[in-house]
Amino acid sequence: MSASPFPSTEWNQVVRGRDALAGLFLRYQKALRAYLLHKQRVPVSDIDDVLQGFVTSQMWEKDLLAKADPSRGKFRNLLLTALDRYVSNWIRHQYAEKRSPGAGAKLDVHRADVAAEPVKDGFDLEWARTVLNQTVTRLRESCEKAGRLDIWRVFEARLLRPILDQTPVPGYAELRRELRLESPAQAANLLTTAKRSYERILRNVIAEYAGNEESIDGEIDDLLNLFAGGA
Amino acid sequence: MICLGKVNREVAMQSSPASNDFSEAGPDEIFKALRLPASPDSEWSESDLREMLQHALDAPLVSQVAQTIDEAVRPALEKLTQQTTPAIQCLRDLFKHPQVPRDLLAVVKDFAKVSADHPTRPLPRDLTRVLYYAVIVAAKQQGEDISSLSETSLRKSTRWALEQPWLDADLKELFEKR
Repeated sequence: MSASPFPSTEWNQVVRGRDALAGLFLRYQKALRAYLLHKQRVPVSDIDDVLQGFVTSQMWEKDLLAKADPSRGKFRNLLLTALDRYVSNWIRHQYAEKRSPGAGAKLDVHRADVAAEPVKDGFDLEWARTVLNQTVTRLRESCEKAGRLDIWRVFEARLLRPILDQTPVPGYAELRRELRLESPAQAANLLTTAKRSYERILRNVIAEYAGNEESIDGEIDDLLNLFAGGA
Repeated sequence: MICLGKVNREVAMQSSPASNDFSEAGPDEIFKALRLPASPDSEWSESDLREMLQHALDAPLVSQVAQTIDEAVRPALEKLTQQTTPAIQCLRDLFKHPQVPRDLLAVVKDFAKVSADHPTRPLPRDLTRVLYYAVIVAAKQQGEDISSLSETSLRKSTRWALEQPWLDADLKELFEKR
């Protein structure tokens, strides 16, 4: 087996231990909740139970993902396949309990009265939001740690705010004055640095579940394709 | 001297981490954010270009050119800029000077040529085009030919440069003399 250029990926950690997997689950639980509600139409009141049961039984007891082969497919798909299987079993179990004499007669096992939404509006959207929130948070933290909030400020003003708020892009001259730089070119150089850091961190965040370089590229392409229509 | 620590504190107070959140972002915003690394930088505004051109014209010539081309040319540049009377301190001096050494004109032309593609200190392409044509015109005005650009092409390029709203007054005067 060839060495991965990202030896500390979450995939590898899945095989090595479960703490990282628990971290991944916590990080992306909003996406899993969206999937359970909109795709599987699990009632809101049952979602916590289902998720807790899924993590405990599938991830910890059966250690399903620890045995998974990264080459078999994308982590997101694998997670959903496992979740689908768990929900099917959960529903079967609920019906069985309901039918059994003297027990579970009041259990509510109906599907949530929620219109099924395209996956793009549920799981994948929440997943991508989490990826981007992680990336932006880590970028700011790394700038703070390095004492380079000027890099963060140029990134925020020129790229982030215009995307999130559709605010006009401020000129480099304006940023030069705000940050007391020598020239607008210096502000432009800061932006180049910020973009490189953003790309590196985005790839690291994705590497935590996607694996090697090729898989990271594939995941970015996949996410771009999912949201291209909305652009 | 700018105190980076002070800038950091000020930025920390101005930035709002809560508002930099994708939790409510739609597909369009997600797409743009994922595509960011591959997207070209936003265009330069008119005021950016005006300010950058002025900075390029008034910055110390030797440092600016040596840092972009090669530090090895610094001693030769220092010699060339000091041997003129009056001495040439910046690009603005060079464009107004009646007798610039040919070698110096050639080096500045190379500087303008490579500046747009510099890996860490790139200048906007339109700005480097203006500097490139300006040095060729300045050379022509003192009887030197440092470019293979035809007269027709140079005339066309000069017209283009004069149309730029961010053009500096000294360069405008230089181009208008043609």
